[in-house]
Amino acid sequence: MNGRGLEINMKLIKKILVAGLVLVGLMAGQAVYAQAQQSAVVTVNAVIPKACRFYAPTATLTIEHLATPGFIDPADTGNASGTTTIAYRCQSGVSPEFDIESSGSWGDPKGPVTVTLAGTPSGSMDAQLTVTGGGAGTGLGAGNNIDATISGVIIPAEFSVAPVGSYTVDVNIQIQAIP
Amino acid sequence: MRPLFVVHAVLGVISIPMKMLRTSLAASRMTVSAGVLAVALACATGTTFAACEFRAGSTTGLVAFGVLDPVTAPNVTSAIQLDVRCSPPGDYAIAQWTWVSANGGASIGRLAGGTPPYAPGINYSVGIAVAGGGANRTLTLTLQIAGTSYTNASAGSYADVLTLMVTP
Repeated sequence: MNGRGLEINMKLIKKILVAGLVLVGLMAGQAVYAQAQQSAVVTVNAVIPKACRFYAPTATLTIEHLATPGFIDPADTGNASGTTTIAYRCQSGVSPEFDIESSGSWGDPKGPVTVTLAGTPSGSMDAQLTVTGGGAGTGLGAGNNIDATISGVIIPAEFSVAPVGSYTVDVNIQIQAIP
Repeated sequence: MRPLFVVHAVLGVISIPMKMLRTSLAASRMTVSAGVLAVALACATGTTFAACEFRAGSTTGLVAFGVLDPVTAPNVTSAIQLDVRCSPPGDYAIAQWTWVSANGGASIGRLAGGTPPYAPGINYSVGIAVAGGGANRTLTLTLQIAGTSYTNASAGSYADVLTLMVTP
């Protein structure tokens, strides 16, 4: 093998080596790039419980005779009655149930529950209260109010013997989602 | 970019043996050996310059928001910390920490679930901060849900899978 032949072979070897090493270098670079794509997997979770709530703090229920609005006629033989509503919201598809203070149980409709109205200046009358929900909720956000109806009845046996005066009682009504 | 740097390093190693190629056949054998060494160095370089990574034990995690009250619906925040490493530490200056939510994509995280299924999902924001010095540091992943995102959500369980990535 003469010097020129060696020179030619050396050039060929050089080209092969350079080409090969560039290729390997690029592959190594890719390996670095691939390794740089490190990742971590994080699981995220949350639980939303069933929920309902009132969206009106108070409501007033007036029990009366229709013939004498705002009053109970002690001579009337029919029940004195009245209704009012209070807004609530539940999540979509979630139904409410209600409890009237001191009843100690939940139900929908809830009642009747007996409450005692205190008279001024004297006396008292018992009334029967019922709360009826307006159905399953559509969401707790704005615009999803549903009315619950609160009904009250006083029978003649109560008001026919009651002293003249005004009668009142504050009643707490609670709401919860049916589990 | 890191890959080009590696190629340059390889060529630098081979430049010295190239001068030896013109002298003798024995030198060519040395060159081949040097070439093999260069390849080995290139591969070794690929390992040495691993750039940034999530360290062992920090490749998985759990962020549990727990039970959210949709009635009062406060904004809620939850965070976890993951151990990360950049080598050399200077790579923290160029490291890009990205994430993708399985349900929300690359711009918003989203928890899916509910009964009935809550179509909008519960959106959450993602914050990433890396603190500390040296090669080993702490990545804090902070997720926040705005009350408005879940006050109208259906009851039930919600989940998402958040994949964090780092480049280089």
